[in-house]
Amino acid sequence: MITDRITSFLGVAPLLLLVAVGLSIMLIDAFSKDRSGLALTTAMSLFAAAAISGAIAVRGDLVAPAQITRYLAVDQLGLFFDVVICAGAGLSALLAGGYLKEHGLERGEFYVLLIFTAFGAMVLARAVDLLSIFLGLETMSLGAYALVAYRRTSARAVEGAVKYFLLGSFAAAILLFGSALLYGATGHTDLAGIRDAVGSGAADPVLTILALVMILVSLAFKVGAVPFHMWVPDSYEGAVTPVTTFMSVAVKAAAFAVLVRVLAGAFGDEVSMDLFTGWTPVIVILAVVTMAWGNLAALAQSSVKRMLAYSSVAHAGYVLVGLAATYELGPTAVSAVLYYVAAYTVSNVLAFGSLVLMGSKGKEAVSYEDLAGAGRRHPAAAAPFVVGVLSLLGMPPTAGFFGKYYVFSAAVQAGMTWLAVLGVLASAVGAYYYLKVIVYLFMREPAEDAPIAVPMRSYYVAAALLLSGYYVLRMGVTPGRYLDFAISAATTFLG
Amino acid sequence: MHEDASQQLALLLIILFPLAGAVVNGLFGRRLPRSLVGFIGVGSVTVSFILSITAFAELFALRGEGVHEAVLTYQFYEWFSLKLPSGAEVAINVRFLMDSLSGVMTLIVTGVGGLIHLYSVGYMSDDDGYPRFFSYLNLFMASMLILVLGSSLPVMFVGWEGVGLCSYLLIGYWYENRDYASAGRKAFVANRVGDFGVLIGMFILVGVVGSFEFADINAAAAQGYFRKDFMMWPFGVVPSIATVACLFLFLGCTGKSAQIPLYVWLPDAMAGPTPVSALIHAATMVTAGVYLCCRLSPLFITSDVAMSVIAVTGTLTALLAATIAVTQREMKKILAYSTVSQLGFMFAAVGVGYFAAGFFHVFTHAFFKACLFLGAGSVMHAVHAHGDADIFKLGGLKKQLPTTRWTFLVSCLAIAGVPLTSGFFSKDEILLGATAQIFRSDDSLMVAVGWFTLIGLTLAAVMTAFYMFRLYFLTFTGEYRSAGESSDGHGYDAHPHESPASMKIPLIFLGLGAIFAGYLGMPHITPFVGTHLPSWWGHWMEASVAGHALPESMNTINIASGLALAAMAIGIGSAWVLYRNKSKDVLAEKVPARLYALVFDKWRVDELYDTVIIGPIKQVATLVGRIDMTFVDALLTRLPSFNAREVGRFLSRMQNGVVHTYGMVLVIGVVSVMAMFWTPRAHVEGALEGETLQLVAAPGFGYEYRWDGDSDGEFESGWSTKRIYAPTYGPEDVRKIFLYVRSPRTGASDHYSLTEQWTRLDLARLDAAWRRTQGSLPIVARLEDGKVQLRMNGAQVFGRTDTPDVIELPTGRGTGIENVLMVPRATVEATVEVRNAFGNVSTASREMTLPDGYLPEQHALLLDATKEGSR
Amino acid sequence: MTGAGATLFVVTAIFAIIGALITVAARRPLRAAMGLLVHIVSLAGMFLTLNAHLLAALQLLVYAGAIVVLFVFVIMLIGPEAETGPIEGRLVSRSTAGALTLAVFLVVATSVGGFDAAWIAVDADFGTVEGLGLAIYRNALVPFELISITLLVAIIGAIAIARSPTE
Repeated sequence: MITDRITSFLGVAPLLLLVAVGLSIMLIDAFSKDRSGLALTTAMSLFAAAAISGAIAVRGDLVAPAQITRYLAVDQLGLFFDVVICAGAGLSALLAGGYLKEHGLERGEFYVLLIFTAFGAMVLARAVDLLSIFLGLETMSLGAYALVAYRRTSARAVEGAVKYFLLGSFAAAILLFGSALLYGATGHTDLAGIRDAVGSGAADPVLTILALVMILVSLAFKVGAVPFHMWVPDSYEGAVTPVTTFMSVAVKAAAFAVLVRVLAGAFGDEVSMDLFTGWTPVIVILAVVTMAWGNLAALAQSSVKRMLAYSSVAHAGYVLVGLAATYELGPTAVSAVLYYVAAYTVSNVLAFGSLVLMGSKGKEAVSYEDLAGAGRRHPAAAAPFVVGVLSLLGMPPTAGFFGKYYVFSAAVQAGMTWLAVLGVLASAVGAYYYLKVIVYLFMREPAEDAPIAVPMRSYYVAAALLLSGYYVLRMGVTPGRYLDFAISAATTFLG
Repeated sequence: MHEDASQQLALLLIILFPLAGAVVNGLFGRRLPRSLVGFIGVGSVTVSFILSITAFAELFALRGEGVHEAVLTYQFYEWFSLKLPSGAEVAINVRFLMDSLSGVMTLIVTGVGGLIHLYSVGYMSDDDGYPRFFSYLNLFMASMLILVLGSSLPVMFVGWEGVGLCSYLLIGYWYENRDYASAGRKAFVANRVGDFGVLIGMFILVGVVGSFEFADINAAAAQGYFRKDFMMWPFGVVPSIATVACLFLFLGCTGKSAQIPLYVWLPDAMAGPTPVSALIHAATMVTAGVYLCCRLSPLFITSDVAMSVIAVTGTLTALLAATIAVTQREMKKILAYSTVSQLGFMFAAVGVGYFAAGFFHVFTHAFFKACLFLGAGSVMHAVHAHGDADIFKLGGLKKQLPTTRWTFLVSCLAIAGVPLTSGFFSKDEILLGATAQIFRSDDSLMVAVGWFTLIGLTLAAVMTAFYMFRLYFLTFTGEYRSAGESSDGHGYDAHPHESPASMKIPLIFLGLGAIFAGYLGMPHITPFVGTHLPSWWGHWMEASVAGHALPESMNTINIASGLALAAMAIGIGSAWVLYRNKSKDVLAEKVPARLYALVFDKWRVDELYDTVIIGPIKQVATLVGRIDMTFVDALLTRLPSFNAREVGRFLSRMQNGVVHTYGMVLVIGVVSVMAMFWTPRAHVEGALEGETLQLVAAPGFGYEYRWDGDSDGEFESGWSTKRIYAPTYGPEDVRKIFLYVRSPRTGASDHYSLTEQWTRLDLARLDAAWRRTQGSLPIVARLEDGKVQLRMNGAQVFGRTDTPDVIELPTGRGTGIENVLMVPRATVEATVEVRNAFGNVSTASREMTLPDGYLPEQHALLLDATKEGSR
Repeated sequence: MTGAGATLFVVTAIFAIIGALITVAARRPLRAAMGLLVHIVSLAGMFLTLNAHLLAALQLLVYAGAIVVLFVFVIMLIGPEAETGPIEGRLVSRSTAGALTLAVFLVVATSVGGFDAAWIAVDADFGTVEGLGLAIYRNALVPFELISITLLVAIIGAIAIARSPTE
């Protein structure tokens, strides 16, 4: 009897686990001076949450009380994003374990914030009600603002955080406004009810359009699509690198999850999606502008961290290409989006993690010049960097290649060959700045009097790089399993 | 996919050995003795070569047993699977395949590659990065073998990208020189531009065929799957999918195989060590484009347009590169342009439909060009030239370097096309192909392409013979022009010496190949004499490569051989006169200085690209970057350190500007997205619902429609939410009459707008069988009093023998001529006006076709004109 | 809605907007806090139009009683005369943004103004102790618990930023 009660919560077990761990770490941090194990505990709990989610998805124990499923979906899609978010957050925690210690920034709140922000991201990815969308978004965003501002002694960090906070609040207000209008138009706050009302034509068209516009814009802000990306480079650059990693993978993944749920779910009827009059053309234009602008801006950067920030903007554009194909392809396109997000997560962790590894106490590697010749001096430390940028570039056989492959192939199959052509051209531009990393690592010597970046020695960072590197190659060489998960998530979501 | 139970493990091992060599040398090379590093590098490729021979022998035996389409395969594992919109699941396997084509290519790659590895042992002996070099080189071999042996496009693409990456790493190998590193990046980016073509081509192919396997694509192409019209933004309807797919794939080939417009990277790639130039940029990687075309030859041959584009591009490249090669001063530069030019020859052969001939040139070229590069390396090694050697500072080296001289001479003879050397046979076949196209085709475009190719290639052949012997004479004859220089300064060594044995042995083997490799592909008929010869190559290749039949007409054969011989004689003769035992650039004195300078500067194509493409991209990138970070960077430079006052000032500054600007952009975004919904977008299409025709307007939030079925400006219905409308049409609604022509056999179709004037119907592209019987008599059509008249000019009307001069097409089901169906059709236009919830209005019109007769008493079918084309 | 209710709604709505504007636009922090107070009291009035007496009372108690008092306390601690400087420069971007925002609001206002929805009768227990209890402990339990975590994150975040990094 009691076991039945417990197993009936299995569908939200990863969420409950994170809350429990987050609260425990708060207590441990309050009563213990020893912080050496916090990073490991955090990472292991997040990986455990990812593993539980994966296991639930495989076993199909999609059970939870109705009071929960009204607000938080317990479905394959949610579990897929659980895995992606927890893996991204866990790897970021490992990076933080090395980075914060090396640079003398280690404090317990960091890990608590990381866990609760990841929790917010998971809530957002599972949210099926306007109320839980807003709460998930706010939990995630508040945590992210604080994480960006974590290194308060850095002017860049404060600047990035303040900008992110102001603009993020603005976007949240727009989302709230849109939600109110949508409730007015449909009389529902749950996405399923909204879908029925919009699809049957019962909803007021004007209010629905205004709500769609507002919600779409605020979510485009969260995924960092141009022209709503202005906060991205500043806050990504200002934040400490593990936080940047976390934001660029977990926060972005959650934003894409809710984008998929709202657009392909609540607005998934034929009229809302229409190729000429629905949200599809908006996404197409956003995708084109984002890919072009993100790649070109990345080209002009002299800081690797900032380049990676812009590159993450560009990658949002590629994902939007897949989303645009949903109109024609349905689940196939959504699975391309999911796979891309997963592949991007491990590739980006690898690239940012390598950047973390390249710096040590007192001298953080940030610009291209910092990397000059590092690959010649420390080939083992440079190897993950090479794999990471090659994956971001979309070189086979890495995860990044398949991400791009599925997304562009979806676009071609949806009859948007020109969009795929633009996408591949944009990624050809990307080749230029990604290769610049390899050029500096292996084919340049540092300037005479420049301080030389020495790679740090940290088992945490090494573990994060090995894990993400393994998955980058694994998802490139045998992508079948991961793709099957993405396909089953997309198919069960869209029916 | 597992048809044959016998898994050929050898195919996997061929790839794994070099890969293992790369890993061992890459990870532990620094700690291993040099001799072991060299042994691993050369040894792994040698094992690979031996395995290739055994596999090839097995294949050969299979063919001997009479199995026509003999293949060896190895299924490694299922890579991933893809779901198509049709619902079909496509499994993509990591599967390797050796057939006639990939078998020969594997032998070239491992054989020539092995020799070049051996050569590198001597050539790179003084270099610090010895293990790194062998690691890259072995990695390249593995990638190249994946490219060659992959049985499907995605697997091939892995190798395709891999060789690009290795090429990039090896070009930038001597990274101390910044130009070298940037040459590497130039190569990589040019290749990426090409790669996108391959990717898109791949997506289109899988969309049509539902499989990535070469065998399935080729089989589908042979069955005419690709003769469908294709809607492609922004070009509208493109004649056939094959054309689109082939042109995208060919774009990839222009990148990898250095053709116009992407050839610019290859000459710069000579920055890499000489063995790299020989292996990657002459013998193997750059021929991957030709290999791809041959691999998919049954597909390419279905598209005349794509084939013509390839032939013309190849010829132009051959010519352009040859002119540049004539003026260059450095050995490797000359050889690089020569390679570009020879690749042009190969593509020209592909473009005129003689794939086997093109690939035969790949085969012979691998020997003599590798030999030439290694010979150049040997010379540079001898005189201690770093990077490249200026031929005007060399001369008379035949005494000091006898082995190098003889092998170099043999290869020069081969590339110039002296009879009975390998180059003669292969070049002759290419010219024969071009000549054959002139005589075979009755399509004026194809004939013109044939003429262009023939003349262009002959001129290029003249120049080839000329610049190769210019290079030979200036390097090896006359007096050594650096004899007075000191060996320690920047000049060349005063006392050149012959290279070590590890460098000489490959030269000798390759030199032998340069002479004798051609006998595998002797012409099927001797020119001038007319004896039939056994052509092993053609017979061997026909199992996996499509192509036109070789001509039997002696005229054709004699013209081609005559031109080839004349070109060779003129080229070598003029080089003999101008450069033998000379020390100056005699040619430069005889042509206008400015023209010479222009050619010497490579026609300034690099500069053109810089101003037209790279400059603007850079400017835009800088602009974008600046817009995006103006405020931030300005702030950061003013905030070197942190203190409370600065933060306060900083925050106030930010409130005064930066965030406002960001906020403004956000609001502009909101307004722009809203603007997309502010005005409605009208769109209308014709559709068939059972027996009734319907006009269907695109849906939208809160849209209301009103209809004008015949576009006469008067709306027949009031505003309503009905987005489907079924109008009735009378004769007075007809807008335009045209003739719809279709070949039922292949499904290809076309339509011609008719006027009162006689219009010629160009039916040639619909069906190859038609082309032959039609002869040169055109069929013309016109409109007379609303009725369609045809003048057949002697052609036969299907089912009728008493063909009158002018026949009137019935308005009913049309008529057939030979195997082509002609139906007169009329178009009408419909208009819909759309009003959205904001009260804004937009209209859309659509011209549509009434197919069966243009006096529609009953509208049985109403189809959209653009869609009709694809049926 | 009856006449008296409608009047109450219009009045409280106008006051709510005025209060919000004062909060955002005021240069003096104390004045901004007073604007907030006006806004909160007006909201309480709007709850009354929905017959939600308990909510109205809670609104007054918690927000007006506790939170605004806390704000005022902090402001007095820092110094009530603290004042943000006049906003200068960036006229182009500010006026563009202002005009566009105004345009958006006009579009929304006219669209919503033309929207004629049916009135939905609220449940009898809406805003009562029983209704509130059912909502936060049964029907909307999940969002209620989520809010607690949202607030927790906000607190930890504030501590993480505020705590001196050189402890």
